[in-house]
Amino acid sequence: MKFNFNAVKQFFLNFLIPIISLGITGVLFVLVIYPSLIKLPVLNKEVQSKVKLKDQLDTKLKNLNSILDFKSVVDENSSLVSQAISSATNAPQLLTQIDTIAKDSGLTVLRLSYSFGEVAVAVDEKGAEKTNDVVIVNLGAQGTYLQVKNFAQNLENSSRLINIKDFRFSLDNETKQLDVVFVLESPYQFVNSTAVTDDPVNIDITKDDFVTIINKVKGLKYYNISIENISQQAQKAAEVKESTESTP
Amino acid sequence: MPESINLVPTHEKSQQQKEKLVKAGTIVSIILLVLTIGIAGYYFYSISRIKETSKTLDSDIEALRSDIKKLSDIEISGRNLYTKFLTLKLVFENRTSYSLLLDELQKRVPADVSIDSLTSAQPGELSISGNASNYLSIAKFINTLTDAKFSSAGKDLEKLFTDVKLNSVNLDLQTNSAKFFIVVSYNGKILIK
Repeated sequence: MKFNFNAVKQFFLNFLIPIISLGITGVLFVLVIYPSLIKLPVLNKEVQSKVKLKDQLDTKLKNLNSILDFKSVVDENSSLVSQAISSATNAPQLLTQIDTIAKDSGLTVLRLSYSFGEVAVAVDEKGAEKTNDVVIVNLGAQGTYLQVKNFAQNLENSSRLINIKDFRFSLDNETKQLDVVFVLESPYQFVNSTAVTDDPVNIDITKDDFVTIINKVKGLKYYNISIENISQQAQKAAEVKESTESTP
Repeated sequence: MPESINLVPTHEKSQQQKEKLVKAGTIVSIILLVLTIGIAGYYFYSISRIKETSKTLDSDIEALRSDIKKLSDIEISGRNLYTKFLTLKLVFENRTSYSLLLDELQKRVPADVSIDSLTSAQPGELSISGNASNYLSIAKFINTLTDAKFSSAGKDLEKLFTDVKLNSVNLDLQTNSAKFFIVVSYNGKILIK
């Protein structure tokens, strides 16, 4: 009995090989190709966002290193900016500054009072109002037109920043001086930022608008008023008053 | 011409066709397998490359984060400075220089006119009352205020005062002067310096 090799060959070629090929094709499609088609866009998107994050962190590190390199300049700028916009209300110091400016301008200060408030300064892209916290000061004084003008000018050139919100004056027929009332606003801002690793740091001390603002602040006159100075002045004034009253 | 005669039986012909189809099927399945192996290999390689890139990016990002964390103090002072800078910028962009207004007003007051009272009633408006030697002086004052070619005007302040409304004029027989009350409109944007 001869073994039928032709039949076996026919069985492999015509039946087994096609079955196995189609089987492997199906398995490869289900286990490799189809999952890859779904996974590939997701992985690409992931990689794109990681590239973006890496670039962002790279830029942030460069910014921080540049700030570190110019630390003394940044510290000086921080100090200047804090002089212009106080971190707290510091009402006594503010009133003393306004009083000093008024007297330096030649005005006679009659009354000075303050309160706290908020002012709208801008509207952002989403339509929300941006506000600043302010100390509102009411000043009543007497002087000439020139003194009033000088007071306004000295106020505008002073650091801490003080804005004139409203003013009016009228002639006192007895003294022939102007009775003037100013409503002033001085913004203050407490900042307490935290380090958020992935968030960018936008400060660029070489940018034109930053340099312009800092130069403007540098041009303002700083009134170095501290609580100790105010106490000393009050004490001196009291001593002078005492000695005047005791002198016959 | 004699015609060719096919002596192959019909059942043999159909058997031969069947064999041809089976052979073709075998070849197609092998080609399909080869193509599938190629495509699967390509996708496998692509995904491996992407995963490798992702791993490298992860370690780069961690290294950058670690360096940034070391500079957290610098970051805090940078953020504080930036926050205050933005506030300062807003303040300066909205700050009206009333000293310029008062200066410009003073320049345009004729010698025989005096201002007794002034109120900044609302933004862009001044209410002014005063005395003048005669009606003509009041008219001159009003014209000078809105004169865009005023020779002594401050820089960029030629068109500061845009309109004047004369609300009242009275002759004071005692002092022989004319009392007036005017409302002056001004362009506040010019005063933002």
